[in-house]
Amino acid sequence: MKFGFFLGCQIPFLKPEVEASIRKVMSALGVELIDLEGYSCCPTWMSVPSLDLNAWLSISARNLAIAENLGVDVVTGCNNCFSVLNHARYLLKDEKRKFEVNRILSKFGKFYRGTSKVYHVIHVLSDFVDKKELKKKVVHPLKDLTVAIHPGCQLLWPTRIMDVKEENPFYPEKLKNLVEMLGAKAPYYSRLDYCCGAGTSVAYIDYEKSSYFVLTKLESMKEEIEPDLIVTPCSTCLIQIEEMQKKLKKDGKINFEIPVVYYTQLLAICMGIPANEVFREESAKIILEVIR
Amino acid sequence: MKYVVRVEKKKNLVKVISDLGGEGVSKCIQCGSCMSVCPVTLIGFDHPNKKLFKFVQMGEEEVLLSDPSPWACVACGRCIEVCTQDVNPFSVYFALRRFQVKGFRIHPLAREAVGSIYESGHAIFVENEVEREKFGLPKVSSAARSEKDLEEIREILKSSAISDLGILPR
Ligand code: SF4
Ligand code: SF4
Repeated sequence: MKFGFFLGCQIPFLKPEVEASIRKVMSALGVELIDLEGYSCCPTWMSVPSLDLNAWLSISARNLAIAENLGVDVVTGCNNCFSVLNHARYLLKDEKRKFEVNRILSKFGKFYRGTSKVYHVIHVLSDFVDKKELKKKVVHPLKDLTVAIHPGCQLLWPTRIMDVKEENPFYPEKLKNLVEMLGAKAPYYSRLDYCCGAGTSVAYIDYEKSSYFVLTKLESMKEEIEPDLIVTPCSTCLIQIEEMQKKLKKDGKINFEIPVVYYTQLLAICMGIPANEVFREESAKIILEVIR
Repeated sequence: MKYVVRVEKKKNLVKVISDLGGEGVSKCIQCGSCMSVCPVTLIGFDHPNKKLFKFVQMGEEEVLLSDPSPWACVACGRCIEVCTQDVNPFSVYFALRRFQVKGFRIHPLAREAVGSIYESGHAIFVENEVEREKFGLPKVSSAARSEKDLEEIREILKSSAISDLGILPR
């Protein structure tokens, strides 16, 4: 199984440990990730898409054309890239838009066909990798661990633009099943599907209000399920929850701190990959303490 | 007795917003479903989704040019899922951003992000090769490392309406 690996910006530059975990886990499962030479920002919602429709679609189409030339579908570990690229694919089904975009791409010899699909890392693990194979690779299952899952909005909505989707995105199952497969409990809590508040720019428009998203979420999970760990498959959510949780604690709004990890980081540890290969030093220590 | 309030249309904004990607806006019937699931509304932002759609239908240009709420949308996509008339409220929101941009109201963060993409190919770019090596990662294979590819990105930006805004680095 082969995919073009769309790294985006946040994961390679801010969270290389997450990238390492995705690469290691996929390679252990026999999934080949091919780097996309010359790719660019997807481009993220708060950039080109906010300014000009055509330039957005052209940049997204250019990224997808790189994968098309390799004859592979795309996988990304970032909810934002997943959403931007799939929205672009959806809009480019319109022949007029596609024609306009190709007029621009042809200036430098590229062409967008629409042949490469865009999946999320979670989709590859839940829908493409053989469940039994995956289970076999879990050599250190988790015991007595309660996990609060946070799928992140852009992985769930709108389902019409996705090739793999939840049956009911308001009650998502895929991440839950993947966490339970590791031996942990992943009970429902009322704000499970709630937004983390990072989104496109809320944090910049009103930092204080943006932290309420995380506060609501944390209070709900703490009260309802008392989790040991928060697991998310989105780099943006990961950064937002980590940062805002620290802020909320400093401001005296909460008196606890729950470690937050990216799903493949947790999976890597369960597969016997050393923690320091997929976590920074301080986080590795914390995480090992939590799961032992 | 029936009262009919006639609002005089100031300008055909439906067409303008449609051309900017908000084609569904004319279909909005003000049912409010989009607002009932919108996280930005729920957290207490002044985020009057459907009201703005009404203003588009009424041609209220000034309100639409100055309302900051389109910039607060987190692109979660919930409203698209639940809209009863298939308006795609999210797309209307982004069309409203582009409408404001045409009037030179550009959120500073957007300006910064586009500038960064022009310079490096990435909205977020950090020199972190040493750190990447520690995790055994290869060099990032993006346009940031290839002048030819970066030139393609710049060409796209320069040949778009963005070049008229005077925000691209020289
Ligand atoms: S996409 Fe934007 S407007 Fe729609 S529900 Fe989400 S935050 Fe609200
Ligand atoms: S859900 Fe659709 S029809 Fe209802 S108010 Fe929102 S945009 Fe209008």
